[in-house]
Amino acid sequence: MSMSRRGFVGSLAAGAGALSTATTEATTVEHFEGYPGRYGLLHDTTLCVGCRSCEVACAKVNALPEPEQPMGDLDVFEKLRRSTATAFTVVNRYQDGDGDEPPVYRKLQCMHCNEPCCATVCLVHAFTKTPEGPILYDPEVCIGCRYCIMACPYYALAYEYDNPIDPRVMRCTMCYPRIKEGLNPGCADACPAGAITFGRREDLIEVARDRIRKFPDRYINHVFGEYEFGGTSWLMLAGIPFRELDLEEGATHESLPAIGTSYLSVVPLIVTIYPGLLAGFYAFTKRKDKLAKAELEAALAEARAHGEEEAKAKLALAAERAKKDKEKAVETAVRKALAEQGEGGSS
Amino acid sequence: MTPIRIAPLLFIALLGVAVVAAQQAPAAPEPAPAGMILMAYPEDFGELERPPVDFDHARHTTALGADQCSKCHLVEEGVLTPSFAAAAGDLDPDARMDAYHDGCQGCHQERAEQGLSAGPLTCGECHRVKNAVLPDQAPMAYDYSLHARHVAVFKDRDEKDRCRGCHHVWDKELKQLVYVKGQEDACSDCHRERDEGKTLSLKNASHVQCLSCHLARTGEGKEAGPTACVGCHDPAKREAVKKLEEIPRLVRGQPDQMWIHRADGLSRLVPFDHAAHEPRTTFCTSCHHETVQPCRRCHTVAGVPEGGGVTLERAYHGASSRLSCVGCHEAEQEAIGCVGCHGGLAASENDSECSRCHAGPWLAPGVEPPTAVPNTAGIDPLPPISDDFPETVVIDVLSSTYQPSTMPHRKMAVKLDEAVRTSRLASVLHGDVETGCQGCHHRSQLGERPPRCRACHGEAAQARVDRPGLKVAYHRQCIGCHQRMGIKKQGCTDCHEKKEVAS
Amino acid sequence: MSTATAHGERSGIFTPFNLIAGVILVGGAIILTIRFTTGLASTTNLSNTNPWGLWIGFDVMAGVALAAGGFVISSAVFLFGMKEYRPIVRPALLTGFLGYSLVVLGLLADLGRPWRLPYPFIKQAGPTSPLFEVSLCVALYLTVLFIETTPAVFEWLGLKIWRRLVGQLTIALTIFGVILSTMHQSTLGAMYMVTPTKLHPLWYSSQIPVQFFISAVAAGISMIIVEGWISHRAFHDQVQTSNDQFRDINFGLAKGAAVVLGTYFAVKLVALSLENEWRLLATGWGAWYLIELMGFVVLPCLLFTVAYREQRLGLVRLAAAMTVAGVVLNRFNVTFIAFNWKVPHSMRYAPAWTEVWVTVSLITLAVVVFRWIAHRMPIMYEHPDYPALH
Repeated sequence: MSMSRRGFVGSLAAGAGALSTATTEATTVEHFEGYPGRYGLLHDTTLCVGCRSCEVACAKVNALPEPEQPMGDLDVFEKLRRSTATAFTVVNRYQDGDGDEPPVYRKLQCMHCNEPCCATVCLVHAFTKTPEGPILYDPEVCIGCRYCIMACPYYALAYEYDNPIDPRVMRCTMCYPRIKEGLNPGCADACPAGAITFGRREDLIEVARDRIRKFPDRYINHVFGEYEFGGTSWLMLAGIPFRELDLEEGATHESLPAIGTSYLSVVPLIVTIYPGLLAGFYAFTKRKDKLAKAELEAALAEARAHGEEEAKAKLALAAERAKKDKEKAVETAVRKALAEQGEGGSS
Repeated sequence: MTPIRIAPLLFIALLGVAVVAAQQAPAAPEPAPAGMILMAYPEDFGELERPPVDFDHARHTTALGADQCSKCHLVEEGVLTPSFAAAAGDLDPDARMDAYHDGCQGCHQERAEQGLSAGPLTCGECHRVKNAVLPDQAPMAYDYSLHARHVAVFKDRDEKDRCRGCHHVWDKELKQLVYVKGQEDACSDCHRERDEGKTLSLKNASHVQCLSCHLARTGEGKEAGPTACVGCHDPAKREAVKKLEEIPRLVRGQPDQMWIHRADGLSRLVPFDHAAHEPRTTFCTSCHHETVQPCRRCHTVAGVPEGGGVTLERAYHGASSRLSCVGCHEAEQEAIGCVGCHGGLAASENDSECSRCHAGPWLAPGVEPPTAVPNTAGIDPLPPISDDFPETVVIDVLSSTYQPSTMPHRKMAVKLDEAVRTSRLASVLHGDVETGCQGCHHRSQLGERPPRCRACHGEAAQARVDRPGLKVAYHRQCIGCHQRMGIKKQGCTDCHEKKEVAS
Repeated sequence: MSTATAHGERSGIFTPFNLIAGVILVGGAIILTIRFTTGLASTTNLSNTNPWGLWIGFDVMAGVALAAGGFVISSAVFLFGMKEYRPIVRPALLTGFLGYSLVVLGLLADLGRPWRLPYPFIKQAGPTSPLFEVSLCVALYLTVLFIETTPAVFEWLGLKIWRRLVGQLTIALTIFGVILSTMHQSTLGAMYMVTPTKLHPLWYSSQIPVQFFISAVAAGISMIIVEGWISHRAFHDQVQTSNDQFRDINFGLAKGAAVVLGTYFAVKLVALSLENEWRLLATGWGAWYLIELMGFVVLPCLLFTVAYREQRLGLVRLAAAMTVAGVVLNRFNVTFIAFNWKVPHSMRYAPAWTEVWVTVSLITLAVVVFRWIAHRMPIMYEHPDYPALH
């Protein structure tokens, strides 16, 4: 089939165009927004009255001992508490009421981050982020290294330090079994002030923004947990700056796993490059040694050869001298003999 | 000493530098001590190169003698101009700075040469207030009581002199300030932020007029106003000033009732009871904040620079400013009797119907409005006890940990209704007695028997529409209102007894 | 167990050293028994705020860094041909092996369920975790060190064929050792990259892996110097190097250490610049950081340089001791001093005396085993029957 040059070039271009569209589609970078429809909880600290019904309900639902300090005991707020191995959630008072302003409380628990660093740093993969939102922990594989507790930026994990046989990492589970049954988490049901709302995370963000819009004087214009360190399932609203609630303000939107494991991409490079590199060093060393040895031998050989020649020359010289000496001696002897003979014949 | 041996010493030096650097952390700013004049004047000098000077006026008057004011101040015919005379007037910043330096340092130098106690001569000894927090000099504010007291002082004077001290206009022919009755304006109408030619800035004008009179009267041993800065500019001291019991109405030709309208008929006329509003303000300037002229003189429909870009509509309806009608009304909702319901509503839910204010007729252009009359309408009384308006309500729907709660429905309604009735504002803006029910029976049809709470609030919350569950709905409505109204019953057992736990 | 030397002298079992070591070890054993029967709470000050304490900070973090001398010296001799350091290869490798064993023992004491230590490899792996990579590398490297220590054992036992076999593996093992060491030394630092809010910004950096690796090299070299100082005296009758040769080795190490410390200092400055943290140096934490940096990195670097130029062995040893202390201090800072720096005072961590005792007893155990091996096996000298390894 004959084809003009133009036709050939044209079909090349068409082919390249077709290929390029195919490749551009294949090279779009994807961004995983998280499992759609996953659940979350909205904690409105302006509504929290510090009654701690959530602590009691959480203990009941998870078969933990009831909080030591009963509900009416206000002394419990004198110190800031964190969750413990027997209390998955605690409520702290961050600002005393002073007549005009009411006191400010906040409930602490595992934040069920979108990209949990506890799951990333666990060397036995004991944590799983479920599509429904909660992060689950498997005590059957846990070896107790406590890297997860060390890494959690919210200090949400606790350990059973007094258990020698099967110590576990203890944390809020977002009542996963209850969620699967269509119920609400225990704390959400128990709160009499409605400071905890359970629902789909995307809905709760809308609700939170709506509340800010409706009551701009009541809230700081920020939904905490929407983007901090990649976002969390627990969202917070507050009327005072979040740093006064012991929450990191201005945290990066980049998730901690992304920050913390970016380095690991170097590891395969080390494994692939180092053998060649180090073997190369070894080879260079050996080569240098070999060359040095060869040089030494060459120098020795030369010295030896040089010495042999010298010795031969010396020997030849000495032989000649000896010959000369001998001839001289013979001559002298002959002369002496002749002289003696001459003397003896004449008388 | 070889370089390598110096190394350990170098290390120690570096460590020392680090320790010293740590001490340079900026200290917390301290406010200027009271009674000092902080000479910063950002309006004259802009951003300062050196720290401001804290000027101890009292020390200077003590050192120089109380009769030596003219050393620094211009004293003309017994009138003392409070600013530093040498630095007064239209000077550029450099010239002003030189004036201060020559004046202050010059005098200090003279006294030092004469062997008298003298102030500092070096820069850093005067310019020493680091991290200064400029003191909170609250601007002077007048009120009806003060005005009346001043009027009483001058009441024996001739009519053209009686008010001239404060209310004057420049007569070009007579080349002097004269008083024109009926044209009394606020000082700030002409006296602005800076001196403009002969018109002094508000600060300087006030100081000249007020202070010199006070000083003179104090000198004569008569009762007079304050002569120290804090006397006028310290809010606490102002609160302590004597207030008259009966304050006569300040008359300047204003109407009793009027229409708020535009001649070209943009909306229904708004009947405005000026006489009823006057006692609710502290002074004319509470509403006529820049000038006694009507609002629309500066706040045009489109918005102009004179009005700060605030359109006429915003001037009347802007909810964030107390100067607007709606803004002041909303601020009034924070009264104890109102805040229970109004404090819990979102701004958008709080909008009253426009017709409550826009109650007058439409006016065709060119047509004269009818005579404005006072609003004497009241609201109907509360209905008698019935099924629709029960005496008490027993809430037993959720009772599990706690006993059912008995709510004193009628008692609450009567109390809230009384708060509405005693407030003219509330009565007019509510318009009818059923509006008061909407505080608790929200999002339901006005005038009809309201639906039960559980009709919309299920036991579980509905996150998507941000509707709390029934328990939370009760708690938020009831406890929220109690919190805002300062009612003590906010605890669990205040409303429902705890149930005995079955063993 | 008597302390028989290679020359057959018996010094009796109740030497002062043995008695003290014995007391320490017995005490450590008792504490560990309590730990394993009642849980971590009884013998440590660990809490939910501070899950890692002295046992991780010293036994794991500092231990791995100080045991880095093994790969440094072995790569220097076998890969880079620095034959003059051959006499210290075996002590270095033995130090490394015992050091890593100490790490694993310390880890076993610290883990909640130490019997599950192999789980990441046999049950379920979490390969996204830096700790997974560390544990894999440490396990492999411990094996490598073990095999690299066996030549001395086989020589001692007279197993010629085995000895020849492992001898042939030397180069491959050394290369593998360098790879593994680079990875796990740096990844130990990388473990902290996931805690930017908890580690003070002066110590937290995106370059922490590089910093940990370089400081480990410096620590390894210094540890070799310190260990050589002690061994040279304790095993004086075994060593075959002349005093001059020994001095040259030390000065060579000093030169290397100076270069590494200087590089480390530069890397730290780069990290400060990258995050523009200079004004943090003017705070209290900044002063502490400067003490660590200037007093335990720059100063030993300078001292090493001075010592090398003036040929002062005592100064070399002082600088080495300071470097070791500096790396230990750095690991402590990263693990629990500058870590959780924002936490209120009442919740901060300080090691319990039981934790210190266990750490000291582990170190003592390593020293005792080192002595036992070095007295019997050809560590400090070359066995005449066997050709030198490469």
